[in-house]
Amino acid sequence: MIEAKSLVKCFDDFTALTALTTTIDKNSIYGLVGSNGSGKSTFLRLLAGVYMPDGGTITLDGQPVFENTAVKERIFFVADDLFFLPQSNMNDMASFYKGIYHSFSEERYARLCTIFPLDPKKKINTFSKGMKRQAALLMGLACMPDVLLLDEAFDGLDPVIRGAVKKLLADDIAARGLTVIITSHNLRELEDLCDHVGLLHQGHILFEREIDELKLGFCKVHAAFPNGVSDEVLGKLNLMQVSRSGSLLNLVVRGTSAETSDYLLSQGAVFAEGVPLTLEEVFIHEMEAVGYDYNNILF
Amino acid sequence: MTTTTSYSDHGRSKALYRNALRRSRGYFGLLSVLLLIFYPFQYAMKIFRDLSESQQLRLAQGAELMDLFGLAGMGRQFTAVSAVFYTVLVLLAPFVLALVLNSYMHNKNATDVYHSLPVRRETLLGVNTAVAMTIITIPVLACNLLVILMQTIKFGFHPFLVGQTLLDTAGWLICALFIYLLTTAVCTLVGTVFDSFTFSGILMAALPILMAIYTVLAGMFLFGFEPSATFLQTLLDICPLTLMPARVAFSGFVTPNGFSGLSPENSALLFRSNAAIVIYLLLSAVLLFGAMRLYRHRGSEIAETTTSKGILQILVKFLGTAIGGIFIGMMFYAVNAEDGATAEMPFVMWSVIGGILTYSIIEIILNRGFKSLVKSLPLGVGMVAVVTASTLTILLGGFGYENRVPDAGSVESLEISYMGRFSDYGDIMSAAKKEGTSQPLKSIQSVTLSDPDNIAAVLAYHQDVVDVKFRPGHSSTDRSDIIYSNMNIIYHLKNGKTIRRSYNAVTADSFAKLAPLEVNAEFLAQTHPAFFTDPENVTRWTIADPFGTHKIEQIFSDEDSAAMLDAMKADLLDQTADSLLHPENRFLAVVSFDADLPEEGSERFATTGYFYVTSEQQRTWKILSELGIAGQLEPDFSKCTAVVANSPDDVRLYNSSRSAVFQMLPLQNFRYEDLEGIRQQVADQKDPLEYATEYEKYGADSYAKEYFGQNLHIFEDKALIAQMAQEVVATGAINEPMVTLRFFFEDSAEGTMVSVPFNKLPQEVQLELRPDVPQK
Repeated sequence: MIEAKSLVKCFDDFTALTALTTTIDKNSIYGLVGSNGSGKSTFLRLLAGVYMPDGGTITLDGQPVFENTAVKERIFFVADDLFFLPQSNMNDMASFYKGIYHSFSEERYARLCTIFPLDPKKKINTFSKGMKRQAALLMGLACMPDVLLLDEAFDGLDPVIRGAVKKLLADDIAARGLTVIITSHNLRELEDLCDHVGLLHQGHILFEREIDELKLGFCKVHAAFPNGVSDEVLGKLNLMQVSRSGSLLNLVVRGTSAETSDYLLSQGAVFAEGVPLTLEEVFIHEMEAVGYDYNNILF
Repeated sequence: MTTTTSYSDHGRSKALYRNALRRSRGYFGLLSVLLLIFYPFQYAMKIFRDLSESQQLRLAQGAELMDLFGLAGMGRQFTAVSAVFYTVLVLLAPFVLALVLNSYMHNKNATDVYHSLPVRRETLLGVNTAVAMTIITIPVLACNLLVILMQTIKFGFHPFLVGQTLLDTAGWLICALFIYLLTTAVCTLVGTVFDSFTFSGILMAALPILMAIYTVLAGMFLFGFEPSATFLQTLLDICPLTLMPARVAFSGFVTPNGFSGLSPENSALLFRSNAAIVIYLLLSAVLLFGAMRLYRHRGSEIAETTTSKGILQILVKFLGTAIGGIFIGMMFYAVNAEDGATAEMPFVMWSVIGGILTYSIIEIILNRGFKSLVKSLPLGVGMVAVVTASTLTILLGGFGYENRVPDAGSVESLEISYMGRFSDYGDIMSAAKKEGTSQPLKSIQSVTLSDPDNIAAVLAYHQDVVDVKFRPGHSSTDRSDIIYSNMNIIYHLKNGKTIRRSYNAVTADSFAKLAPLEVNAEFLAQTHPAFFTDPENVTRWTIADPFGTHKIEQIFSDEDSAAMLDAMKADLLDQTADSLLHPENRFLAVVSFDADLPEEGSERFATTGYFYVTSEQQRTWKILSELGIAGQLEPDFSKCTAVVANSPDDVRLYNSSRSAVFQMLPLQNFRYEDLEGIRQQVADQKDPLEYATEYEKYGADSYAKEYFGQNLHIFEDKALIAQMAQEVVATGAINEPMVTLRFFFEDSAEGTMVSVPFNKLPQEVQLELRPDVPQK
């Protein structure tokens, strides 16, 4: 389990993390979202042992990370801006990591080389941005860490590779209990991958939930009332949001879509059906419920 | 658990080491090739080529084979070229490698990778250090072993040289390690490669540069300032860049079988140099530990950030401000140096301006722009104030340094670079004690005195110099009676300390205070060849009358030579300072001798010497009489047709400039046939100033005057000639006017210049020579 308690990190007179406290369970994919400069990458670097905390603690299974080789061996960090040894190819990088991560699997590396369309003998500095990202993810997966930290990991990946990576991560989570923490400022990218999501704002976790729990609490329904509908009728729903376009109503309601549709049909709607909520919409409404304007925070 | 972790760390270290070494093989190859070309290859080209004719001649004369090749270094392992390139390569390599291997600290992306690895930072730093030293050590060691092999093949096996080469190699490697670790320590403190390069470069070189600049500054402004050899050596020892190259200076004392001719002072310097190497080794250990500690606490986030804060930046700014400010001040001082007195204020002004400019430039460079300049300017002003205060301290006398003259009671002995009135005729030399080899002769330029009378004389001189404080180039103190004697004095005090002073130019009055040394036994024993020349080495005696009309060359028996030398010594010791300065005796003869080089190992010898015999020196004259020579030395003044006199201010053309007693250099000959030419010069005399454009190179000095005949006067009256001949002296006071005379004898093809005190000349001669001076 990863646990951060009152974690503080300052850069000169700028405080990137202000008493951040969170707990991330093993065997999960935790998505960390937030606007630029909200502290996502800083949090990952603290967890990777790159940064030394200025206050508070961050631990993996109760052990501090910074300068703790036993803990760091269980963590692999794929940064947003990638670095490879100068003039190296993938085999060189594999050799480098093999000497350092005892969990590095040559067999896994060989297999991954067949999955990702990369030439392991070609110099990495000739790779495109997306290929470099693939190479970094490949190294991370080949090292077989317990915790994989991915900073903007899907940036530059094409949809096919993105899907492959998601599957590989899911397999590792299932097969050997991998924990993945992935940051993004794009909720849509994370919604079909993460089982937990946290929103980082101004250096602390503003909001975090299980995705299923989030999605189960809300529904979005489209309904048509050719003769109009009274506020009294709608008032009986636990309305989060309503918008009108002629006779068409778009409703976000706390509850299930089936119950809501049935109720609207019974009140004269010519049709009423539930539509899927994006994670972003869920966030918007959840945060509005606790008094924040999500759009001002994330965008 | 601990065991497992330790084992894992060890395994990771090995993996990192192998990986880093593999990635750095280019640097390894480059350094190896360059060293090979510029070190062993140069050595081979030097020692394995055919001997030149001059080398073969020297070899035939008994010179050591190894001495023929001009090899330098403690193990005679360098040629002139390889010494330069070896120095550059071995000292540059650790600097470059430190910047390259630690460059990941200054790249955010690289830092993310390296600092997230399960490797402790100490391990990373240690591994990189090991990689760097492997890259440097292997080629350096291999090249030195190759040189040792070639040396053994060519010159035979000399354990001493092999040992010295290996010790030297260790010294070079220790310096390389120190440079690497210092640069690494700086790398852990700063955020960019540029800052690492700048800061570590300045830290390594600034201290000796600063000390050197202040030394030059003190030499320029602090009256009498004289740094000791130890001080200068310290300048080189405290810098890892100069410690090992400076040891080449000891090459002259290295022989295949050991050191030879090392003076106690040089031995002490060598010991200090060796000690410095050991200290650098210890400092390297401290630096390694310190760098690891610094690295452990380094914030990864400082990668790619400029170093705008911290003690390191302040230190670098201060060093830069001091060096830049003083250097610019010196430049403008040099521009105004023709008038030294008024150049001091421009120096201070420009050092302040230069300091602020330099500070601003450093601030702009370190912070990549002007944004922080105004805010940090007070710090710069403070630094400039400190630097200005230090320079003003020197300009204002260095807290009494300029006026300090030790008490006579506190002086145990002293060394003074004053060799007396006989010093300009032939050098007094010494040779190292060594068997079977020829050593270069060393000219002795100073005497050591402990006689209280001598100490008192030197202190009187020193006090007078300090009271006058004549500074060359200062318009306010420009004067004509200046003697440029380049005098160095080292007082050895009873408390074990030393005081050093150096005076380049002093007034004649000050210089005259040293006259008592000229008759002191301790001084004469070190400066007059009669006191240390073995009679059997004397090959020829030359005795002439003062006017050069009669010259007798003879080879004496050893007994006669011994008697002559003894007589000369006794007569020299009988002289008084007053008899030298104000001679009343008749000048009778000039006695000189030539001598062979003595056996090797003589600590003091000369190949020539001379002595002026006056009627006061009866012992020498008596021997000359007994040998039947004295009777042949009487000039026939009836044959003297003319006397040519130079103006009194020209007399120093022919005098020893390094003596407190006036004494004509012996055997300053002229030819009788020159007289007609002189007559023509006098008849056509011109003012050289009018011809300054045409004859600029002559200027308006004495030589020019003589060239144009302006300062030459011819006297042909027999009575005047006789009067002048009676007043000819061998010595005189340096601060009183003297006149150089040439007596032309028609029965002698050659003559010798003589001198007469101006005041002793007949009045009409005085009037002609210097009509502007009232006659006494």
